[in-house]
Amino acid sequence: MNRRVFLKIILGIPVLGAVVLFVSPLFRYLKPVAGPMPEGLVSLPLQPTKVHDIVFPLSAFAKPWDVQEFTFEQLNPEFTRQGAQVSRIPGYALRIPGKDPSDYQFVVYSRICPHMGCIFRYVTDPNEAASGFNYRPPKGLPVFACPCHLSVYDPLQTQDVGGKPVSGKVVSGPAPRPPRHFEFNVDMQKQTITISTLERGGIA
Amino acid sequence: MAAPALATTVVRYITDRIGKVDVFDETKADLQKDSPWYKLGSIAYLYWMITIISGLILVAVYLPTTFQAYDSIIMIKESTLLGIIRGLHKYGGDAIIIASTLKVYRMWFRAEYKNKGELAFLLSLIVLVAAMYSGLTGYLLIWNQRAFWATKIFGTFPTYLDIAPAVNFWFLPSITGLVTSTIGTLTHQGNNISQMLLGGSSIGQATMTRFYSLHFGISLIALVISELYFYKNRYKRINLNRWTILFFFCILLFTAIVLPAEMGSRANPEVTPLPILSDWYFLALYQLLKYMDPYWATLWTVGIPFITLALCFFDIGPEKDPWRRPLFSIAAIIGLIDFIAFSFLIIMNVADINRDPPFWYGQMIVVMTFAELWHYGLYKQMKAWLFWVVPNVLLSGWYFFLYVVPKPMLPASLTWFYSNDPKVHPNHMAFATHPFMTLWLILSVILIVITGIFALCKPTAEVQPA
Repeated sequence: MNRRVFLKIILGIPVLGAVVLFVSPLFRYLKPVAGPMPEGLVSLPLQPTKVHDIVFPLSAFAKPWDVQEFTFEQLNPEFTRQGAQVSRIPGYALRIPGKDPSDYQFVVYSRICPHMGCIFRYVTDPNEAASGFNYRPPKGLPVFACPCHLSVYDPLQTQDVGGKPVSGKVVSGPAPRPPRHFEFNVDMQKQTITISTLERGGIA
Repeated sequence: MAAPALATTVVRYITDRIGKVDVFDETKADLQKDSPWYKLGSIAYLYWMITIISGLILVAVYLPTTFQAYDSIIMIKESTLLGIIRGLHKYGGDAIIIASTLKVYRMWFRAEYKNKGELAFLLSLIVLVAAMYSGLTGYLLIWNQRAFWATKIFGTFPTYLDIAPAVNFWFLPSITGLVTSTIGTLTHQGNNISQMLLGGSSIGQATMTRFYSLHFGISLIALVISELYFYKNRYKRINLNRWTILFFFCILLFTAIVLPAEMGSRANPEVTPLPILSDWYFLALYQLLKYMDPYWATLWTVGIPFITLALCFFDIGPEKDPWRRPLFSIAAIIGLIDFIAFSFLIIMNVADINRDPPFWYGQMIVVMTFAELWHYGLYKQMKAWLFWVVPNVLLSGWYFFLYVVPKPMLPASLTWFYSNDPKVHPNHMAFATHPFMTLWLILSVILIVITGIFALCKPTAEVQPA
């Protein structure tokens, strides 16, 4: 390498760097903005916010394995003038059997499959689970099963997610984790269950 | 002076390959006399032009909004002429993909990447991948169920770059997952890529606008580059006579009239159709998603074109006859067979994550071991031999541990190195009952014996191929 080539390379590096610096802010415009500009390409993306809570009376869950479908609305950030669109997230609230028969125990899941985002179902018939989703529940109990890639979730078993046990273990299929959970609160005095926030992650 | 020599070599290497560039078979027109396969590039270019022209007519009528897109497609369908033009656009796109796939296969079987043709092969691959992604961005614009859910999967894919795979194979350390998840916590690269593609954290109007612009952009940029290239080199763009052009146009027109392009039902974000299907050229990859952890499936999807490209650099030697390069010919054939088989399986909705993957791994390894033996039988060269036997032994060992050895739970002291939740395959195969296993074992023993013989007694002279 002679002196000329060497100097060219040395000069080229800052020029290249300047070009990259000049172009990089343009990429920010590819990220959706709702409100002030996000810090950059490597910041945590904007998260959805809820529109309102969902409330069910406990009488809707008379016995264990009773399920209620609901649609949770949230504002998902989007690169439009409105800055967000209302996404309707289907969900399941399921009463699971507790120790005491009168005990109210729930799992509240977003129906958006944590695998690839399809909408999963509540399958009560073990024969349907076996023929349609390649999984026969050992005790014949209901499971959640996704039609897209045949993941099956058992609401009674737990699985580790980030070190915490989370209900809805993946018992069959390729899903990497249990369904995303809603935060909920059971009020025994008012006899209601209030579903408030959805665990973040995935796309709607 | 080693450095200038190296620089000259590199420059020479690159200019040599640029000199052999060929995208639509424009430099191979004289070969058409011997083989009709050299018309494929021109056919792909012809269909590309038909697609561009029909697309330009469609944009005058189509409304790219989530509320009106589906209705405008209904309007297009109701008009006979526009319906046929839409058919030309849709099937023209499919025809580009078919023609470029066949062209890649032709280049592979005739080893056209040899003798400085690597760049030409790379460009053919790029044309194919660009056509596929142009199709992917195109079919969301219909805003039907198939498009919506296929796009959802496409948008969810990148988010797996942020997290470690949940399923690690028993003995495979979770190093890759650890690396990507560590970077993921710092940069959120997966979620950011997903948001850039979709223009938000959900599929909506922004997604549609982005896909619309990408659908244009892919063709527009490629058109500008290819026109500059044709203009500079004064190549003829379509090396077909007018009757051949008419023939291929009539095939397309016939298809568009007889089989009007489907439109499905309007997209509904709250109901997933069963089974969920993409366009036909992505079906096999969707089947892959049913078979493995999404993290690995993502890596495979991105990796397949790169693996194809890398393989052509492993094909050393001047031999161009496909019968005398069995390893590479068989790899291409098995790829095509698996592509077709996977596509049929997903259409029939057959997938069992416990039962099927061992079968496919086993099939792949047995066939490739057979191909290696054949390759060895032709050449009997130690150098080339070791080159292939090492990956095969590694792959076979991996398969053996994964599906044959009963797997105990890991000791707690090792969990830092391995995944926290090792996948224990509940019904791993019984050794003797699976015919592939027996075949694989016999072939592997032969492989190991031959390698041993080679290692012990060096051949005095390398035998030339007969």
